[in-house]
Amino acid sequence: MTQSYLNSASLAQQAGKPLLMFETNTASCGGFPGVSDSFGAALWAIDYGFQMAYSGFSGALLHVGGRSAFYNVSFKPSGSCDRGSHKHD
Amino acid sequence: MNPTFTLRKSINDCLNDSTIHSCCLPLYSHAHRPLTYSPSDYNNEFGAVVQAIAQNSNIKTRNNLIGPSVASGPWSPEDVWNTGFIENHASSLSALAVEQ
Repeated sequence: MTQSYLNSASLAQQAGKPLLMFETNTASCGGFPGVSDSFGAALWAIDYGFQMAYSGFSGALLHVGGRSAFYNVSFKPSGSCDRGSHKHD
Repeated sequence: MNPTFTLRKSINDCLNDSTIHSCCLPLYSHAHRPLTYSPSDYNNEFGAVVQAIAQNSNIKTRNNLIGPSVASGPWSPEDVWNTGFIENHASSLSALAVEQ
């Protein structure tokens, strides 16, 4: 999954910058019901995280959604978040 | 509404908020961009943002930008690296980002 980023990781190291996976998930944006909120997805995300670390990433953000997302990993953002804007967790 | 005003205000608000670790500027290619928008345009525009930040005395943190955050296409990360993006903006970048 991280094969195409190995060059970027090398460039980041040469420049002394962390390489971050900025938005990712099992499916786009906040994910899909039945897929992204499954136990299998949790296992996948852990394995994926280790793969990214092994490939030179310094961090990753699992893409969650605003109040319109069907599912958020930990909490629903309140206030100004809505369809079309999103916060990262 | 002047789009550069909105961009500058959101930069200002975000960079001055000490509770926010870093700020990303979404320059989504599928919205508000001409079809000819290229990685070198992005490289230049990033430079314009860096300059605008440098000229704004309200923004205290100047080296906490993250880019380019390319996802599945049409650009690859290498398209952006080939413009000299990293070298050009190294002093303003705190991290590089990609998406998948």
